[in-house]
Amino acid sequence: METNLKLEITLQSLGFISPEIALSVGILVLLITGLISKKQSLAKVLALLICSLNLILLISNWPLNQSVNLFNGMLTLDVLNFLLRVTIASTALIIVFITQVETVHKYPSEYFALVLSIVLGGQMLVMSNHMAMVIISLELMSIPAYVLTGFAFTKESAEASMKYFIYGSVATAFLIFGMSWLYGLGKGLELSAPTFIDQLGYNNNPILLAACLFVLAGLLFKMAATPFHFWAPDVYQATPYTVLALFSTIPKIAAGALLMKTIHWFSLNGQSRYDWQTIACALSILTLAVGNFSALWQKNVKRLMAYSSIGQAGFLLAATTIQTELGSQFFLFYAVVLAISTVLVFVMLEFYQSQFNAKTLADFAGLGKRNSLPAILLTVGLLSLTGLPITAGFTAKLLVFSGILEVWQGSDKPALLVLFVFGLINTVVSLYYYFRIPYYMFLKDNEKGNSVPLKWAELLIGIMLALGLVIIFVWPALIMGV
Amino acid sequence: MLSALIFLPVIAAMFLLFVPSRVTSVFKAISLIVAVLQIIISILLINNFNTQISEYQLVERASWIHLNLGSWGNFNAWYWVGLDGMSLPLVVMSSVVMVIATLSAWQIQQHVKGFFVLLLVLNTAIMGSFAALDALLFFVFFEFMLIPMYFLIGIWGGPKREYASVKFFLYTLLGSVFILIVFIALYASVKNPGSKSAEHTFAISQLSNPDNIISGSALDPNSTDTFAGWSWRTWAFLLLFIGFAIKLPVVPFHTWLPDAHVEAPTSVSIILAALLLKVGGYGLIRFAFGIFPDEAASFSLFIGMLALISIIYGALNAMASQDLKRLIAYSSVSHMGFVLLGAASATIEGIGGAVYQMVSHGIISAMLFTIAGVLYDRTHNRIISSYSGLFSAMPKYTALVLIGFFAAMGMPGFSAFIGEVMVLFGAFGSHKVNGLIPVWIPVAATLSIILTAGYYIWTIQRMFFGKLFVAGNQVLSDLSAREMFILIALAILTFWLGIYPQPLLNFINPFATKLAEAMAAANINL
Repeated sequence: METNLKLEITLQSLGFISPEIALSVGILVLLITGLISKKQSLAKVLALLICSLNLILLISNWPLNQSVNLFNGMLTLDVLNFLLRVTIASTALIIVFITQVETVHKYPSEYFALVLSIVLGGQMLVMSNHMAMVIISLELMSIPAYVLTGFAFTKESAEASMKYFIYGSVATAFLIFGMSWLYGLGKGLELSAPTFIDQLGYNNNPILLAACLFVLAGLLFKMAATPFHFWAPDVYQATPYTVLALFSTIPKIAAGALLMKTIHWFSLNGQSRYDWQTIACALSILTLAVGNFSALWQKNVKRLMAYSSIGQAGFLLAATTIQTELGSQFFLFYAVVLAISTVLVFVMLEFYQSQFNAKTLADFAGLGKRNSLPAILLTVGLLSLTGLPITAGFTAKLLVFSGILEVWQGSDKPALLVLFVFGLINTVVSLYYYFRIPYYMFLKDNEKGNSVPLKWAELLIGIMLALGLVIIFVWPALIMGV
Repeated sequence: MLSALIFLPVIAAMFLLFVPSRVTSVFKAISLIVAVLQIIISILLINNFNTQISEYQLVERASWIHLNLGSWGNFNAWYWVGLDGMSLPLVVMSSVVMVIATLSAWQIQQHVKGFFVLLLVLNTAIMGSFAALDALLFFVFFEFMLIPMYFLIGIWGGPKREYASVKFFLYTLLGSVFILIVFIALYASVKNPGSKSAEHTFAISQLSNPDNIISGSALDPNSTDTFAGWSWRTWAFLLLFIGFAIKLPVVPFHTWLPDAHVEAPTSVSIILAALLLKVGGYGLIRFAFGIFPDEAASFSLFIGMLALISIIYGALNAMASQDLKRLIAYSSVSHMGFVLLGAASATIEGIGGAVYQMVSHGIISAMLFTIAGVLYDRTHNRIISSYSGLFSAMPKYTALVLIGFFAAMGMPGFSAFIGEVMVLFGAFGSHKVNGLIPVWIPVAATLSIILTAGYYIWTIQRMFFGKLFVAGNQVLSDLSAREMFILIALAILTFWLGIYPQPLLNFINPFATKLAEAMAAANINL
């Protein structure tokens, strides 16, 4: 009887995660194909098919009436994480689409299998409701990322991969260590369970604080948030832009979403002794400061984008401090806009690197004057990352910061006000370094070189994403308040 | 109709994007046609405007951001435009200046397509900021102005253009972040009176009505919360003030202006001085004074002193400038000080004079920068000491320079005279009417007019009289037909506004009366 019930629950749950099942099967198919054929285009077509199938299966689950507990509470499915999965799946589709097969060497199917594993991990992570699932999904994202960093098989990439791996394992170790303490204190691993609140509410044990912080450490590492951001510049410098587009969207968004949920759990419906909202504010302020101010001095574009992505993690963290249902909607909005802008920027940077070998800021000198279209598209993406109108980045920052102010008015926590002011002033700081690239492209002169048009795939994706940013600005209800 | 005025340029710009960049004449022609059409629309707007009422008129409204946020009600921002007695004259003045700026750009050689597309986009942003009745919509236009401006200075500017454009961008963006902070705070503190639940709003007309403030919110006037000794409302006012003071600019927030002006090409300088500074003055009066009249009244002495410092410091710097364009740039700082002084006096004459001075300075500064541009186009040298006795080489030019300089120094018969005299009347009257501005400030401001006359006349004497001398011994041709047209048209306008101010005052009066009354009411509450 008992077994039957469990089996039934499991079978019912399987239907809800059909996209993830498709992804897992797809990864296996890719790997097997890789044994038979080393054809690059075949692997890409296969990966594209799997990504599309993933997205179609996901969307076919819509509309979602209420939140569902799957597999006895291992996963939950609600509107927020459903939309996050759609975001991750669409980002993945675009990234696979623009991947240039020449860059994936002689192991094309392995490359795409690794990319899809990160996607799978991201999609599982946003649904995780149990600490065991969190670890599995996080590792599913992390380990392929270590390998992808070293995929160029150069000395530089091997070094970056090693650094990434060592930092990553330490972060995971922290996470597991923290979880083991939480298990002891909370008598369970399912974080939303009521027993957890009973056990931990009004608990004065300082180990609880340490345990929670250790858990956060693992997530902050995946988001590239301070103080676990040190890997980012080196890893970014050694990794191709297409992979970076993946690194700075999917793991960041997935880990950020889970961090928002985790902080909500930690506050135990307000019964926690520790003020997690203030802790999140502090983390956000710290990350914003480190990311944005370090970026000011960068000359290498990839390192600059690494610090930019740390800064963006700070803005995502700012969205996690709102801690209401609305906060999660704002987080989602920010995440979608961040994904679109980041992919747009990285597609264009990849174009400049492959065609003009543009690695440092100075290499971009005068490129915008001869070749306006890619330069304009890149500028639109950077404007959106900065948060200036008329791009969706403005709307995203506006919503997040108006949410923070609203929460401050309700709670009077000074940290929220500091975050509000500091975060907005950070957009000025970020403008300086983001606009270094258009500055070199349009303001500096450089007579050598000639005009190279965009490839059709880059052109299509670039125009689509740039228009998307403007359209979302004009009509934000498209992706919010549905 | 108002929307057509705002969006016509950007629609034209989109069309121009598809025109091949070789055919440079198309870009110039279309930009000029757009600007002329805007003047025609402006005339229609004037015809349909009722000068008897102080409300917003010619209003157009559509839903823009409308997000359902569940327990928080709706997040609402409207596409909502309309004009009142302050914005209508500024919009009309902008459409005139846009024609002038387009004509001044005729000699642009490099990247003609990009230049005119950016100019048209900038045009939309400026018109939009004057017309917006929703604070968020205003902010979007206001902030978007920076992007075309950055490229216009940075690509087509002078030798130090890169430094100047980055400084301009960062400085004004910092100002607009301060403004955004206050707008978000206002949004959180003000509810829409018509709505069922506590629905927040960005509408300017609702923001300035104290009845709409949610009690207990940070910007509640009765709130006892303070930060560093000042209430949140005071902080909000100061942030708005600094944000717009950077744009106006008010000393000590003015340092971006001389650099940007000196490096910008002529037509961009015209727009910068004639329109962008006015957006700062407009925002100051509309938002800082309009929404926070109590705080504005309580800081009026401080603001009046800043205005006086701007007037005198700008004039002294102008006097010391070696570069003709830098001289004109600093004179703008000085003239905009009168706008601030008029607004701070909180009297009908003062506020009316401030608006009049903004319109007048728009026309006169366009004239002055054209004057500088004429010389620069011929010799690529703007150093005053490189010239003397230009009268004998360029008699027509000299005649128009004389008119321009006399208009700028506020001689009777020109528009600046009316504006400055009204401001000074207001400031003198203030100590009797509301006691906000002590008498010594307008006295000192009046005396500073001598400084203004000094640097203009000294410049005329140095550059135009005496024996003909041009550094490098270049032969100078007199004004071309295009330059003649620009300068004469502007001269007629400033002359007309100088001898017959009543039509413009009819537009401004209801607005000035309304704001002065609001500030007087606030002053009694203090």
